[in-house]
Amino acid sequence: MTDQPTDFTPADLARRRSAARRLAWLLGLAVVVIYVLGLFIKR
Amino acid sequence: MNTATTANGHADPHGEGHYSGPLRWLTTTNHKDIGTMYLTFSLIMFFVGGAMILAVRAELFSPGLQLMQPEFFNQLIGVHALVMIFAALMPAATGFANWMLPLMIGAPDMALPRLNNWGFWLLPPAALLLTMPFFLALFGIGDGALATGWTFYAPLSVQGGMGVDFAILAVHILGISSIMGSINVIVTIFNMRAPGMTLMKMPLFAWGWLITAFLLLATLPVLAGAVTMLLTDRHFGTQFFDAAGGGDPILFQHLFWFFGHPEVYILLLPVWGLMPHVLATFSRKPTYGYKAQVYSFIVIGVLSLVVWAHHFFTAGLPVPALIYFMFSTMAISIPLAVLFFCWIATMWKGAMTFETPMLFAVGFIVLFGIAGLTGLILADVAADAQYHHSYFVVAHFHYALFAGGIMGVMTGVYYWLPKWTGHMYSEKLGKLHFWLTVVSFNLTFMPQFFLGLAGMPRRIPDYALQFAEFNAISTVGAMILGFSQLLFAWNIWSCIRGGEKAEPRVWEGAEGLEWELSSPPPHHSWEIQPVIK
Amino acid sequence: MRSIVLHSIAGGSSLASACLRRFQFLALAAGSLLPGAASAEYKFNFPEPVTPIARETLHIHNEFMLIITILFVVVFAIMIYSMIKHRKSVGHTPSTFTGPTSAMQWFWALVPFAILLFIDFVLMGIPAVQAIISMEDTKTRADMVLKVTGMQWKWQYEYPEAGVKFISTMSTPRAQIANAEAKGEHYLLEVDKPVVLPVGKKVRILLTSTDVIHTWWVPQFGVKRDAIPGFLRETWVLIEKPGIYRGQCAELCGKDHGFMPVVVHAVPEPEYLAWLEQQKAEAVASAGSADRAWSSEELIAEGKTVYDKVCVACHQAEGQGLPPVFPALAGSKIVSGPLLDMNGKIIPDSHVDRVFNGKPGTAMQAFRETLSDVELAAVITYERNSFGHKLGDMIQPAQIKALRQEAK
Repeated sequence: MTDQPTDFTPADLARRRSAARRLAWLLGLAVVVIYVLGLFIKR
Repeated sequence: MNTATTANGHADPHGEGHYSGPLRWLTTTNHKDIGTMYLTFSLIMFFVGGAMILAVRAELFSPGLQLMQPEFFNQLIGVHALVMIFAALMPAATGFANWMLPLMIGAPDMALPRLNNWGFWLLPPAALLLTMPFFLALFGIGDGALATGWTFYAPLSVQGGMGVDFAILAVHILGISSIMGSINVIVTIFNMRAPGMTLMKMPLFAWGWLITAFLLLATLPVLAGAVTMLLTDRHFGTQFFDAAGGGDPILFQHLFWFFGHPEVYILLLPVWGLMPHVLATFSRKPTYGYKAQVYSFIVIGVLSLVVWAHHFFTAGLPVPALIYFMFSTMAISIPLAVLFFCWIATMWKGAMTFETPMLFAVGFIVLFGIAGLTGLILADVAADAQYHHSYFVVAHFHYALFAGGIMGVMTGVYYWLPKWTGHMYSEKLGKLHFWLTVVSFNLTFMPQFFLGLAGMPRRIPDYALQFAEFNAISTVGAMILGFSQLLFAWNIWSCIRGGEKAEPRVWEGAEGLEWELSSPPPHHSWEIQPVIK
Repeated sequence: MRSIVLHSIAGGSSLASACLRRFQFLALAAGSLLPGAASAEYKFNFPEPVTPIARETLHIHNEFMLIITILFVVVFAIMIYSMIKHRKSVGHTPSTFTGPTSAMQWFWALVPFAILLFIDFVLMGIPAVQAIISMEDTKTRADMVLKVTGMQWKWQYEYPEAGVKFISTMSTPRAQIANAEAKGEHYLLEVDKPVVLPVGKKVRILLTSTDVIHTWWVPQFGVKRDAIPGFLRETWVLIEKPGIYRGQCAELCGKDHGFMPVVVHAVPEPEYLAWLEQQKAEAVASAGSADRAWSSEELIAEGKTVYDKVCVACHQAEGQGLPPVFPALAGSKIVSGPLLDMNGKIIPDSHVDRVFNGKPGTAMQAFRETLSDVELAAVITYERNSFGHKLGDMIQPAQIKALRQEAK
């Protein structure tokens, strides 16, 4: 592993962060769905 | 070579952190600050949970009730477990993730820093909620904390007092905090890796945490659902767990353990991810079987979701269910054995030295081995009838969660402490701490295997006379174990305060991005992105 | 003799580590230092099995302990060898391999997993499946049924064929628990009325509970099964040897979870039948006595017996309760309220209603199901004339009997 100085460009960082945010909302939604489904579990 | 270490110590080139003092910590979005807060919180709660169980062990020193009434005893055991699991072990792992993931994958910070801050600050109120009923009871309000054991089994928890409501609320908050932490880990790993770091080049610690995060997302909502149903059963007239209204108490056990079993792996996977790093470092040899370990993590993660009912084999499950859950549980031994194989193969033909982290790693492997092997026989339904609900199980899961979980965390703390603080800790104290911990741990829990075999049920405040000797030994061990942890706290404290300066590459054999940065690393970890070839 | 040998073998194997000897030494040393150590015998394994299931379980346990001990020793011998030989301080130069390279290495890397698979699914799995099937086969050739009902914090036993049922509670005095008296030999594992079972008969045991989940466990039977409110669970025992067998509740069930012992007297069949006849006669006498008029003194005397057995754990000896969970009876408005309404019917939330139907969601259970007419009448009358209450009224067993029939 070596480092090669390439700047984290603001654009790249912004792109990565917004992708991260989208995925986060998606995961959060999945959690809520599991929770809500759980309340309808019958024996 | 080391271009990224130009930004020094705590300089703040971006003008963030407008505050100093307490407000800085309250508002920080820096992954290192948050990691430090998680770890500090975890250490404090480790002593809180430890104090509770030392009181329990003191009561169990001899037959008869000496120090407390059974009601209070029941509160201590349940809250001890919740504190240790949710407020000590899980935050420690999250603290590791916060501190180390960005350093290890070459990211400037976690992907969602503000979520990160919120995730941490939910913890102290939750811990307060969990323990507050103890203090309220002192003032004559309510009847004390949760007295059902950490499992909340209905209908005992439906019958219980105010402490149950506090614990339900606390578990909700702790769950939300963990879910936010997990989401952050997942999106950080998926979006913030340095160029060239493919998933299969990623450090194993990140892999372990990635699986943990997915398990948390899959199971915590189920726990939340179960305790919500409990809450409505208690106060709003539903009858999810009441047979009289068409409900079923066993449904609660299914829901609880659907979370509870993966929870064991949630606690252990970050540690399993950490072990190869430590073993490789101190063996001065690359990790053995990287891919095999990654696949094992995934397989264990998936299997952990389908074995839950082995936690209630005595509840009267149908025969096919018993056989299925027995075999699926046994199947976990295969990927777990792969991990053991890889750990030992990593050490094989290395050039080993035994600094404190390595000692803890080796202690972890041996003692966690006992947990794994006793787990294998617990899976056997035919023998399990005798072990179930007995001290045998108590001993087994403390080998898994203390020797596996907490000693694993201690491995990580000693391994990374010089990186975090910039100082070396005292090797002498660290080794003393290790030997005291290992010897007193075995003194505490080995007798509990025999207590279980002889027929002592768990969670009883008083016991028949034939159990007296082993209980006395166990209590002596627990006291030594508990008080030797003060050495740990002292060692950390002195290391923060000062000591020999740590090199960027703290350990001779250490490999990985985190060792390219200075010790302590700059405020913003990777301003300049490393490229992985 | 044999069992001693067995104990020591299994003890050795279940420890399986280098610290075994040291630990046993410590155990003995600490034990001998303890004042008043109750038993000099150290148990490293299950107690002597007395049913086919318990024997099978012990056999499986010993076999597995041996297997995992061997696994432990072999694996960690390799690790310790490496830790001694491959140290920097002895000048070992590190290798760089990261996985198996040759076909031979792959073979040796995979062998351990093949062995493990074999152990899991063949060596352990096949006998386990057979054992499960026999453990769960409660019905084939069952000779009799015993119904066990768990309740906070006592067991009720019922012999449905004979129509006999009774409650069994711990008989260890509270003073012993509070260390005010010397502890007896069977401290916490003794009851006022043990359940009696014949030896050599397959007994099908049905379990349920009236309040929370309990677990019925007698270690020497190798049987442990949860008693779940609203559901029936079953298991079976075939006791091979007469004797007194002790166990206790194994699932946390509230404050007196630790004080809920199980005591089984296993006797030869003729003795069992004689005992059963005697119980039947007592039950008939008790049912008959429900029809006669009782004097207030009789009821109060009988009521105190019932109270001390059934109610005292929560409401305490002086009726002071353990507020806020377990309310006091002394000064209670419910106790001092009216007995029945003018038509002789139960008033909702009155004293009789509480004792009869319990209070849902609390530890106060419906005693209609578990106490007899006489016991109910007696305990209600006793409570209304004790703990500072001097209502002077009473309820007759015959009235209880009538109320019970109306409820149906």
